[in-house]
This record gives sequence, C-alpha cells and structure tokens, in this order.
Amino acid sequence: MLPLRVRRLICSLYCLLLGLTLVVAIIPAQAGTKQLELKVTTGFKIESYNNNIKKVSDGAGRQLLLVTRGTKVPPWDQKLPVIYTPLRKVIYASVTQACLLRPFNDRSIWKSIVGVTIPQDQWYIPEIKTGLKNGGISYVGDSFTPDFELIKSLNPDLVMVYGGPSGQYKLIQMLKELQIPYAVNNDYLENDPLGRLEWIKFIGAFYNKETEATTYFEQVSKRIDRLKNQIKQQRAVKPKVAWGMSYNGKVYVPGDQSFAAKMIELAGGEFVFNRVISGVSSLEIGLEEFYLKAQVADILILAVYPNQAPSIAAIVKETPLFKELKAVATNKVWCLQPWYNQLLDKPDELIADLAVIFGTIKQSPSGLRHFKPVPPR
Amino acid sequence: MNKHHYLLIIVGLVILLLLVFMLSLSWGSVRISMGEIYQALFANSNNSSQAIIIKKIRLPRAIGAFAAGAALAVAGLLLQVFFRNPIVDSFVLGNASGASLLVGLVMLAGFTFGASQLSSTLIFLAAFGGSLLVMLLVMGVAAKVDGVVTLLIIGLMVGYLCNAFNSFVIALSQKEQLSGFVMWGMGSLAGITLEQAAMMALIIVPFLAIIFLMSKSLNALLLGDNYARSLGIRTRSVRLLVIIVASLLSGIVTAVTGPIGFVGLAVPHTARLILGGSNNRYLIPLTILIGAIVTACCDLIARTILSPVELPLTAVTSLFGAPVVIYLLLRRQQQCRY
Amino acid sequence: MSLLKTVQLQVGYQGKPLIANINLELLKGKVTCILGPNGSGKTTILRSIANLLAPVSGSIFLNEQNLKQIPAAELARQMAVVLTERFPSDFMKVYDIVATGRYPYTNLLGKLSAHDQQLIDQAFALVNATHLKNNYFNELSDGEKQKVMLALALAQDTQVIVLDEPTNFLDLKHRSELMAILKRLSKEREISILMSLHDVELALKCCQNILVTKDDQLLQIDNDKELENGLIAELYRLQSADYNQLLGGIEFLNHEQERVFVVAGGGSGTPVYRLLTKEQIGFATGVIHQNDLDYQVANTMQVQLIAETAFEPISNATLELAKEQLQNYQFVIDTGFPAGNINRSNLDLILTAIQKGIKVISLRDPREGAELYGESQKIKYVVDYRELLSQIEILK
Repeated sequence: MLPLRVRRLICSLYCLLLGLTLVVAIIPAQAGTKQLELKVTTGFKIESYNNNIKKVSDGAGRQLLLVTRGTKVPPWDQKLPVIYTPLRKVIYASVTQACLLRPFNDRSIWKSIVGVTIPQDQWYIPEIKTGLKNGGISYVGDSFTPDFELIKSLNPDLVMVYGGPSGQYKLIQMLKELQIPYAVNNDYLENDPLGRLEWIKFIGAFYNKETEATTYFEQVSKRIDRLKNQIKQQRAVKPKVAWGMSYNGKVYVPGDQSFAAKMIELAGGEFVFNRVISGVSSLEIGLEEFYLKAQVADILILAVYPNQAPSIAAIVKETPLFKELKAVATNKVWCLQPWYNQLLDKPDELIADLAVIFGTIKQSPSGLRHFKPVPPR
Repeated sequence: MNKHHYLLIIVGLVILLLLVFMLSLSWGSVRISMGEIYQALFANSNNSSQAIIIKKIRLPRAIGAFAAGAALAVAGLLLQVFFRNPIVDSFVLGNASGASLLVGLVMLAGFTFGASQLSSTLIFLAAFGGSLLVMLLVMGVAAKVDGVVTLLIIGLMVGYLCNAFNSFVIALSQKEQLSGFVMWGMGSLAGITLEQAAMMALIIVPFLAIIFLMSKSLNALLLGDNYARSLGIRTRSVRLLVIIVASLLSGIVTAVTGPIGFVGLAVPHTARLILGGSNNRYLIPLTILIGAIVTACCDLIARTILSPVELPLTAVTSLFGAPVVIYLLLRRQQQCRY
Repeated sequence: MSLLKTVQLQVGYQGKPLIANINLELLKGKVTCILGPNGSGKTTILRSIANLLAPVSGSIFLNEQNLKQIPAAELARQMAVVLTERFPSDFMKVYDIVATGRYPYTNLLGKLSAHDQQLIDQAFALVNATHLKNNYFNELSDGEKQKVMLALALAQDTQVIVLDEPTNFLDLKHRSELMAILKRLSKEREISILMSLHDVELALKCCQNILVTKDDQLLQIDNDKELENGLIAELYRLQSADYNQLLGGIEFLNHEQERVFVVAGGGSGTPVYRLLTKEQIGFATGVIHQNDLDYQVANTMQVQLIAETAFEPISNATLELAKEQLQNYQFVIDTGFPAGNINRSNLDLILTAIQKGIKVISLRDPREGAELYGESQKIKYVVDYRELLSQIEILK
C-alpha cells in the first residue's frame, strides 16, 4: 500500500490528465483551427477546423459553415447556415465575381454555375458564354430586381451577392424569404488590385480550393513585385496621366484612393487628379478644374468602352474642351476594353499594360490588350 | 345610372378582381398548375419549390398590388375632391418627392443612420419618413391658409424643392449607385415579402373604410367651402383629415414600392366616367376595385412581358392608362353637348 | 314673428368693421332685400348672417337662439344659402347636387329615404327644373344653374333662405321667374327670405321689406317717402341718369345745347324725348300737364319744361310763356299729341311757330294736320321716328 500522500498525488495527476483530455476533446475549436492568411483584404475571414469543415465570415460579417459533402456537421455549430462544398449549383449575382473562377481552370467549377445576372452578349468568359448559349446557365435578370421565380426554380446551393452601401438589398431580402443560402462577396469595394484578387480565396473556400487560390495569389503578387522593380530600375520619367470620362458635356474623375488611381501609381504614372477628389468615389468635376489639371497630362485614359470612344474626332465633337488637352493633340488617348470588369483575376496584366502605355516598361508579358488606343479618326 | 346597374358593375368588378388574382398566381417564369396553386395555398405542409414561389413571390405581389392600387387610387380621388381639380394625383402634395429625397440620401449619399448595410427596412423607413415630413409641412401650411389653389401651389413647390435637393445628391453620387436609385424611383413590387404585403393591407383597409364613411362630407366639399358649411359640414376638420389620410395612404405605398405614377390620377377619372357622376358614395368603391385591378394587371405585365428582365411599374401603368383615359374622355365629349 | 334678429351687428373682414349698427329683423313669410351699389357691403352682411363670415361684434339670433351656439347640423336645418360663387363642376349630375340639400337630415352614409327623395322632387318642381334632373350641371345655362342652386336650398327644408345677388347673371325671363318663385314660396310656405340686390326695380317691385346700405349704415326704408326724395340717385351716385320711382326706372339726363322745342302730351312725347336724348340733341318741351307721363319723363331728364297743373286747362300765362320760349329754337316738333279739352291750346303753339317762320316737323297724319293747321309749306310731315331723325339731320 502506497503512503497516503503518494496516493493523493497520483489521484490528482490522474484527474488532471482526465481533465486535459476532456478539454482537448470537447473544446477543439480554438486549439485546432487554422486562420487563412490574408495579405491585403480585411473583408472576410476563413477559419478551418480540419480539411472538411471551415467557418467563413463573409463580406457582411455573416458566419457560414462550409462542410464537405458526406461529412457530418459538428454539433457545437449547428446554428450556423451550412453550405456543402464543393458547390454544385451556384448563381453569381455580380459580373466581377465570376472571373475569379478562371485561375482554377476546373471544368467542374464552370459547370457549377447555374445563373448569372448579365446576358450572354456582355460576357467575355467563353465558358460562361457557351453555358448561356446552350442553356446550362440561365440569365436570371437584372441584379437589382432579378426574376425570383427563376432563381427559386433553379434551387441553387448558394447565391453569391454583393453588399456594401449600394448592395443588393432587395435580392438579399428575397433570398432570406425563399430560404436560399447566400454569401456576401464585396470584392468590388476593394481599391487595391491585390485586395480584389484576394477574394479568390473566399470563392475558393466554397470549392475546397484554398490552396490553389493562395498559390495563384502569390504568383500574381510576385509578378506585380517584379513589375514594380522593373519600373524602378528603368528610372523612366513619371508620365502625367489623366483618367476620367465625359458624358453629356460633363466630366467625371475617380477619387485619389480609387482602384484606378492605385493602378496608375503601381504602373509608374502620376495621377493628375490627386487631391482633386479625395476618397474612393468617382465624381463630376467642373470643366475648368478638369482642364486645369488635365491639360498637362501626357496620357489620357477614357474610362469608357470602345463604342463610346470610336475616335478622337468623335470625342472632341462631344466635348470640345478635349481638343485643348496635350494628350489629345499628341494622339495619346486610350480607352478600356469591354471586358474591363471581368479582369479581377489579372491585375498584373492590367498594371503591365498601363506601364507599357506609360512607357515605364518596354513590353508586357501578356501583350498590350486590355486597353485600346483611340484612333484619331 | 340606377342602383341595379351599379350593383351589377360592382359584382362584375369583384369577379374580375378574383380572376386577376388567379392569373397573378398562375402566370410567371415557372409553370405552376392550378392544382399546385391550391395545394400551396391550403395544404400547409407543402414546401416544394412551387409552393414557395406561390407563397413567397406571387401571393405577396398580388396582395401588394391590390392594396397599393386601391390606396393610390383613393388617395388620388381624395385630393381631386379636396382641390376640386381633376388634374391632381396622389403625389401632388409632394410626398413622393419627399420620400425620394430621403431614399436618395440613404442610397446615394450614404446616410445610413448607423446601419452598416443597405436594407429594405432602412429604405422603407427613409421613404415613409420623407413622406411624413412633407405631410407635416403641408399640414402646417394648410392650417394657416384658406385658399385651395394656394395650397396646391405650395404642395407643388415643396415637391420641386425636394427634387432640387435630390439633384444635389444625384450630382454628388457614384454613377454605379444611380441605377439602383432610378429604378426605385419608378416603383416596383419586385421582392415584396408576405410580411410587407400583409402590413400594407392591414394598414390600408381600415383607411379605405374611413374614407367610405366620409363620402357625404366629400360630396359637400365638391360644392365649395361655403355651401359645405351651410350644409352643416365642419370644413376645417374634414379638410385636415383628407390631407392626413391621403398622405398616409400614398406614403405607405411609396415606402414599400417606390413611387407608382398615374394610378392616382387616372383611376378616379375612369371610375367617374363609368359611374357617369361624381357622387362619392358610389365612386369610392368603384375607385378601390378599379385601382386594385389595374395595378395588379400592370404588375403582371411588368414581370412577364420581358422576362427575366422586369419593367418598372410606372412605365406600364402610364403606357397602359394614358391612352385609355384619352379615349374615354373623347368618347364622352361626343356624347355630351357642351 | 321674427325668425332672425340681429342686435348691434357689426360686420367686416379681419376685425375691421365695414357696416355697423345692424339691427334687422326677418319676419316669417316676408321677403327682405338689402339694396345698395356694388361694394357697399351687402355681401358682407349676408355672409355674416349666414354664418359664413365671423362678425366683428354684435350677435345674431335665430329662433331666439344665438347663432354661435347653434350646432352646425342644426343650423343647416334652419338656414340655407344661395350664393353667386361657381364651383368647378366637371361631371356632376344635377340631381346629386340638389340631393346634397338633404344632408343635414340623412344618416352617416347619406342614404336618401323615400321622404328625402320626395322633398328633392318637390324642390325641383318648385323651381320648374324637373326636366333638368338628369343633366350634368355644366350643360346648364346660368339661369338654370341658379334655379338648381335654389332647389338645393329648398331641399334643405329651412325656415330661412339667404340669397346673395341671385339675379346677377340672369336674363329678363329668368330674373322675373326667380323672383316670382321666391315671392310665392315665402307666402305659401311661410319661409323668410333675405337677399341682396342691386337691381332697384326688382327690389321695389318684389320685396316687402327694403334695407339700404348707405355709407356704413344699414337703413330701413318706408317704401315711398325716402325714395321720392332722390335717395336712389344719391345712393347710387347717379350722374348721367336719374331714377324715377313712379316710372320704376331710370332716364338719362339731357343737358345738351337746346335746339328743338317739342310740343307733346298724352304720352306721345316720351318716345321723342328718348330718341333726342339718345342722339344727344338738346330740347325743351311744353306745355305738359303734371299728370302726364311726358311730364315724368321730361322732368327726370332734367330738360327745360313748361308745365301746367294737373287736369287744368292750359292757362293763358302758361301759353304765352310757351309761345315766347319756342321762338328761341331752330325748329319745333309736333308729336301728334291727342288734343283734348285741357290741352287744345297747344295747337296754337304749332300755328305760332308757322307764323314766325320756324320749321315744324310733325308726326301727325297729314290730313289731320291739314285740318288743324291748314295747308302750309312750313310743315314737314314724317311717318315714323326714323324719318323724324333724318329730317332733323337735314335741318341741322
């Protein structure tokens, strides 16, 4: 018989061990979760418990539980909405989100799309265009007031919407009523090109492809870093760049914290409207102010598609003031391509193209194709 | 028109209403048979896609359309009696402009009053708040002013003022947000929930009853304040009540659906032409029924004709109704010698 | 028995008194009229009595009750109004409008009982408008519209009816018809009627009790005395015409340069006087008896008038005066007056004119003229007034 003190010691040690085991067994959440690392964005969070269960916090701060099909839903988190991954039927209610699926290069992912909110002729992603043509993907109507009956009849696993101050509040309300799960993806609110790209990790989580997403993100980040170095080394003169659009005789320019401004900066240009409009929005400014700043710009980029800028002669006809701009006189006017909004996955190409236009690098790896020079006539 | 003729018309309209109700439930992007509709409405356990579409999409829209149509039509009638002017609709006192202004502030200028996200409730409160503010302003003026034309002009001016402020907001807004705001401004029943539709109906129906009970005072008002007073009507209180009820009716509809034009102007006219007179006791039930039917039909057209794209409701109500009223008036011109 | 009484009533707008010391009484079955020129305050008084305008001070009693204390619905059963104001009446049926007169008696929804409908039909019959029942109000003429508004007041079945200038837009037929209806109503149904008029003739001929708004007072008139003394002319500030109470109408004044002497009598002068005044030709006339119609007209026109006492033969003095006078004139008109015992001497005037070489234009039958005056080149006989006028033109 061991002495009393030794018996007590063994007893307490045993209890301690038991307690620890219980603790480890019953409260695994904190100990076992892994946070997905986010380099730029703060718009969402992904916490994985294990390979099959993760908790996602979406753009509106809502928590969703993503569970691989076949896995049992853990009892301690049964209140959260459950989405089974990978998604088999999803509706993308924003045009910017679908392009982030491109880097995965996975047929089953393309097949998972059942509905979109812009019609076939406005898509520049061949897989979606084909899907719309052969009926595999349905056009469900305008993104503010889509056809809810159609949406319900498609019975999607998820509808990806966007929120924020001009979010799809009507759609969200109806999805709640129809008991269709949805996730808020606010990629368009990001101003940093890499921030926008990083939402690929968010979408990837729904297909269990976080690793692929992260890999791609790193690749693109590296490419942009290389670009930055290249630009620094070339030591080219920083060209002055005006970016805006005119409509009905009025001119609109983006704010100095906007996506356009960031890209210009990254591509080695100087945004002439810095400190004109602070913040993110794109606002109308008076013709005088526009002329004051823009007349010294070496390059003018019109934030419109080619059909609205068919030639320099045409735009000068609509806004005679443009004739006075140096960039117009020297035929250095560019406009966007119609797929501009469907390039979230290729910010490196966008920046490279701009750099070529600015002359801060000699040529871009993808070839200059995301901006179009506006012909004189 | 004699009593029998009138009762016949009312019965006919009620039947038409039921017909339109059935159509609203059975037409849409998804084919749903009559049997399924019946099941969806009455067999509670059914939770299929079709049942949800019926219960959560089509039924609220139908109820909402009836309630909105009746409310706007009667509000228009009230204001036409009040101002003794047939070219007046439910928004002449500027309440739609007030609603637009506040909704503009929320949707375009980011005045979310603390809420982090745009939501239907926020839009609803903004729209209703805007209407209410304008109504209080106009009531304040109505208490001090006796002339009816003056009040009409004040209402119009307040409307223009709100539109002016709205222009500021629009000029300073992001282009991308504008499309949402513009669509709201044209009115739509899309996305209306059963809860919202029921709330509208529950608020509107008692008011319609109140107005029907006021038909005697309204008839007297048509003769002018002096005659009305000599018939024993308390004109000051009746006028105030009319403004309040008309503003509330159009305010609650605007808050849920956005401004829907034309209904308040043309439906009372159509009812008057059918009745052949202006006796409000017979006119009010007619107006209610016709308003409900017309709005529900227009909503049906708006959501089916270019499916899956949905037309805004005001586009359909105006396109559909204006020519009808012109035709009816021309026909009347031929019948009466002036 | 007085149905409505005012005590020291002062009426006006926004506290400023327009007419003060109004103490009038409306009697059962009598028609009372407030007469006065435009803008003298008639409408103000009426609206105050009808409880449509708050009085500045004083009180009104209806059936011994202070008007302010009678509840609106009860007041509507005792007093009705007919106003001149028009209301936009697009698409309103005449029947519906008259039916509103029953509102003080019907229930919350305004349902008309058989009795109500009977009274409405009666009201239509009383104003002779039954054939208008199913028309639209817009389609009626002004006179018909006014009758309909009166029917409304009648349907209200009150003891007092107040009318504000009811004859304003009406032609002669409808004016007289309306007044006849009102007179009959007041008598048959013992209704007390108060109305405002500016038509003096109607007032004097139809209303039993006349009040006049003069300066800022409301005066009671005992029919004859005050009126004869030129009250009307003073009240209406007549400048180019004068009012003759016996004629019941006005005659325009003639102060033109006198060029013609008219020998008249027996009413034959009146058309000639009026013609000359219309053409602005001044004249004098004689010898006219005071009981002659021509006397009244010429006197009101304020022309030179040589008169003779009523029913007395023309005295010599008067005749000589006339003979002297007529020599001052360019020509003389013989109106073809009937020559009787008392005015035979006037024929001498014509003969005197011929003697003195003054041109004479005569409306007499030439044969009669030849008999009375003998053949003479100096007399020009004319057949009618148009010829008379052209002769005057020639002779100018």
